Amino acid sequence: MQKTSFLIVFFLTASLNCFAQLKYEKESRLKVDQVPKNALQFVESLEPTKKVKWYFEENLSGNSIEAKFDKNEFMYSVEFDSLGNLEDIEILKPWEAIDVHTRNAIETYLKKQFNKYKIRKVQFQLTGKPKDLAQVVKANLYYSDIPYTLKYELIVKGNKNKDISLYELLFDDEGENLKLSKILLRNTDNLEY
Amino acid sequence: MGSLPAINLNSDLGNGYRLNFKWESRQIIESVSEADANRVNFVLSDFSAIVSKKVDLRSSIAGGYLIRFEGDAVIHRTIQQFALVRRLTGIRIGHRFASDQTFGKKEDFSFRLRYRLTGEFPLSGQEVDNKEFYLKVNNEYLNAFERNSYDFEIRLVPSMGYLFTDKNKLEAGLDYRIDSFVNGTAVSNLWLAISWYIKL
Repeated sequence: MQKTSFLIVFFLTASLNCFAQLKYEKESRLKVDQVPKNALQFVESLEPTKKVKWYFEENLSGNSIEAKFDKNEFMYSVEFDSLGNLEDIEILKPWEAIDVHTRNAIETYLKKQFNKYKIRKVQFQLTGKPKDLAQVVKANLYYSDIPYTLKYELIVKGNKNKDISLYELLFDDEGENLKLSKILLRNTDNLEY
Repeated sequence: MGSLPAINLNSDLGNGYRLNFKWESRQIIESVSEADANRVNFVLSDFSAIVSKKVDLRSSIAGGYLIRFEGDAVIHRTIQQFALVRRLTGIRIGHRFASDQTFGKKEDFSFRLRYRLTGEFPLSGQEVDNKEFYLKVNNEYLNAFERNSYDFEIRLVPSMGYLFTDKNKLEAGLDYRIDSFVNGTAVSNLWLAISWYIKL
């Protein structure tokens, strides 16, 4: 019984496993001495209040370097290309930190998209010249004349046609939707059974 | 001491329903209990099928059936469970609340209430990526009721996992179980657990 059942299950799983698809995305910790100097200097200029953690991310669209740290109770994520050139800054913020006019526009969009929704996470996404972005971040001048681009990235739990899923949405500074994508959650079978 | 090889096959059935099919074998190599001394190399096999329904983003209710072949005996078990998975920065936490009822021709009816807490920790980066190792720790508490008797069992399973892809992972670790300490002398068992999780 033991042998037969083992063989049946083994061959069944081995044959099905051949169809498994490979999704290439890998994140690993980086030591400070492996980080390009310009990236290191830029992050230091933002005056992080807690230890900076560096990550190297490999994916199909290219490699990048990411610094994560806390500053004034908010979590910062600064992304660079592999040479240390700044790509963007993302800052975890409360929903109320978004300008009222933009918030209303985003809410109108969400009400149209989902039967029911809950905002799980809000991030300010800043792109522009490193000097300008450093000025915005250090002095909290999100709504000023400094030339830079501000977008809002939201993670929303949405109920749509009886399906509950997690979505990533991107809005411009006027609350206009730029992107909506469903987040594929990691498999949880090994935590449930 | 014994081994617990297991294979978990999981499949989406659509509309939030999923099917879990599990095969698990148990082989005792050595036991610390004198009563079990004659059961060295005894083998049993479990086959179970559980259908679950997603009730929220990360929680599900499930029900299923298990059949156990233990020597000449065939034992049946019905299973009900509620599972919830939380994702925190750098860690995934799983809660499982379950009940099961065991019965068979040579088996007294027994009922169990169980709770299991699981933590999954990446060993590189903030989450477990493909081709990476991770640490998983299970801690389960089981209340078993049989006729007029009651027993309480605790399980601790630290294991090391390897994620080939999100649909294919292998875990190996030690499964430590202790019971009978409520009304008598504690009996402990140590198993070498190897589980293979495959999503179809």
